[in-house]
Amino acid sequence: MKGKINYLLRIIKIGIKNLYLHKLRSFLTILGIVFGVASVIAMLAIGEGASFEAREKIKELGSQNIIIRSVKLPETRMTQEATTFVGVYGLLESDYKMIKTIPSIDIIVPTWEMKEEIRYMEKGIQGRVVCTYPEYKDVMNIGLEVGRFLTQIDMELLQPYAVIGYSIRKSLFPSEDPIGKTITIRNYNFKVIGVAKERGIITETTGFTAEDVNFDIYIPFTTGRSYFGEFEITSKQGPIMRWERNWVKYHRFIVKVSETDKILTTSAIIENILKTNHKKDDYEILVPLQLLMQAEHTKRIFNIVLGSIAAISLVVGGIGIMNIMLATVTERTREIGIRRAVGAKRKDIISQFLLETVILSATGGFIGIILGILIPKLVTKFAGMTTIITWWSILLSFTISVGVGITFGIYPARKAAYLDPIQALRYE
Amino acid sequence: MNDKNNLIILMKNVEKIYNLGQVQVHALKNVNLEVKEKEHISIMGPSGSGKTTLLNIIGCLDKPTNGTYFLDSVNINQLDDNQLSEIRNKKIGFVFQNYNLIPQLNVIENIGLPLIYRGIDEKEIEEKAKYYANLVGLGDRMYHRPTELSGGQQQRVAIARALVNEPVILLGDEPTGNLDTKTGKEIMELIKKLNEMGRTIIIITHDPKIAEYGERIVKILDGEIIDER
Repeated sequence: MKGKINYLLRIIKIGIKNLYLHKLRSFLTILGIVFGVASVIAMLAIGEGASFEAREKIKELGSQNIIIRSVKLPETRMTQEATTFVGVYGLLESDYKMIKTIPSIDIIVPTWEMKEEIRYMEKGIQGRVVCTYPEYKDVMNIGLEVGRFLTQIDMELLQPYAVIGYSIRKSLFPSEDPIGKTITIRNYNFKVIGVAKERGIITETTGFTAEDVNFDIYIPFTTGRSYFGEFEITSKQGPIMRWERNWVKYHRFIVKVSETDKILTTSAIIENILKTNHKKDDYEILVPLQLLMQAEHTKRIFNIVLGSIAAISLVVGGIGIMNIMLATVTERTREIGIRRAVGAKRKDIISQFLLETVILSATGGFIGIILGILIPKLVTKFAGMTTIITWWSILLSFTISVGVGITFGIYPARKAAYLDPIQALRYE
Repeated sequence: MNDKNNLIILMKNVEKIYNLGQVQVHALKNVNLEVKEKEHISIMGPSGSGKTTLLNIIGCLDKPTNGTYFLDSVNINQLDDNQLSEIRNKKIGFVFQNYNLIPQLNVIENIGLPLIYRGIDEKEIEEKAKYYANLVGLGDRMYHRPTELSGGQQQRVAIARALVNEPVILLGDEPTGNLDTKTGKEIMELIKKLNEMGRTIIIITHDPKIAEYGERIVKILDGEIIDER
């Protein structure tokens, strides 16, 4: 055993020495492996980072939720009164009542929304006013930085209370305590009772329209109804200032399903209900879980594509190594003959050349790992993308690079070992 | 010289036939040879006479096509490649005309080469290699590369390498062929000294002066032993 270890150390030493003798050649030989391994790690880190971001965004919407949203179709224009359009679209009271009866749902929280300027003293900011119920906090996972959320009593008393989003607080109350302060929405006064914690921004890329809930402001549904009614008023850009008035009963329903595996069937039932109630597709059903599954699926495809690219580059790298090792064997034919003459067995020759190849590819793999860790860090620094380096990608690519060394080293090593020692000794 | 009864080499009706496509070449025909322990033998013949083929067979680099060959009472005919390698490693010491040293290894490493295939401790290999480097008179050149040595010195390294495994027989294939007369003589004196120290030696050469160093000269022509004295 000790003899074996001595022998192994000896041939490792010889191998390193031989490779060091041809520094430039060895370096060029391993470049293929270096870039192969580096690209595997870097690409997987970028892919992993992107899918992590996507998953986080979807989780913001609540993976156990189904979100039903009113959609204003372009043709929603019914009457035209001089400078005002009047239309009707979106979710109806009957939708609300019917969805509520589905046994697999825990709760349904409706909202009514409008884009409005929110004012405090001389400052103002554009926000989204969400008229909703106390349960909205739980289904949407809203955390509070300070103060409290809306309650049932606020609801019943039609309190003019508001919970403001993180970004609204930052622009209206940069240094003040907002609690108890009075803000104005369309000339109505509201008292700030809470501030929501900062949340991730949902971008267009993840499969739904972009939104930034940090600009939301939550008020009791009942209060909103009594102040603002059911008409959504938006100004239209054009040669003359025009207004568009749309009658909308509800903007969104957030439905929380009791069990995860009932989400898909529940969303199918909801779709059926809406289909019978609506003549047009003025609604949209969003299932975060489905998006999550899509994201996972996309990630899998992405990984397969990356894997194939990486595999090709590693194979190319391996062929490069084999090519050089074959040249080395020819170049060192005499040496092989000498070693055989003094008693080296075929397997000794095989181990020597195989080991040299593995040292080459493992060194390449090692440098590749360093590069592969560095690249995502630079991407994060300069492109601002999230990257996640997984330990398994490092392990995998290193194992593959050593595997490539063994695979592409066997042929040259065998060729060396099966040279006729007599001929090898005479080789000039 | 006494105690020469132990047979190191026993060859009976050894033939070597090479198949070169359609043509068969009889490199050795009906060779019978006996070598006793501590003998010093010269094998003489012109080039193409088959003397190198004979030496390759004696040195277990090649196997006879027909006939039997015993080396140190081991029947070589029945051995496979691995076993032949082991025999070469333990019982044979080769010295070649062109020295055949490994250029990237220094003197000590070249001398110790046969021992690494035995799994011997590195320290022990170095000690033995140093001992033989001193023996062949290279005590002050131990860490030089072969390219930094003269021909005679290189051949001394090769001789030390051939001795380091304490072989039963030392084989020389024209060991002085690449050297000038003076250096060649020095090398032959060294070999003679080794024989006096108890080594069994076989040298092949076409040079009668070198052959004269042997106690016995075997002449070979067209693959046959034609004279032995």
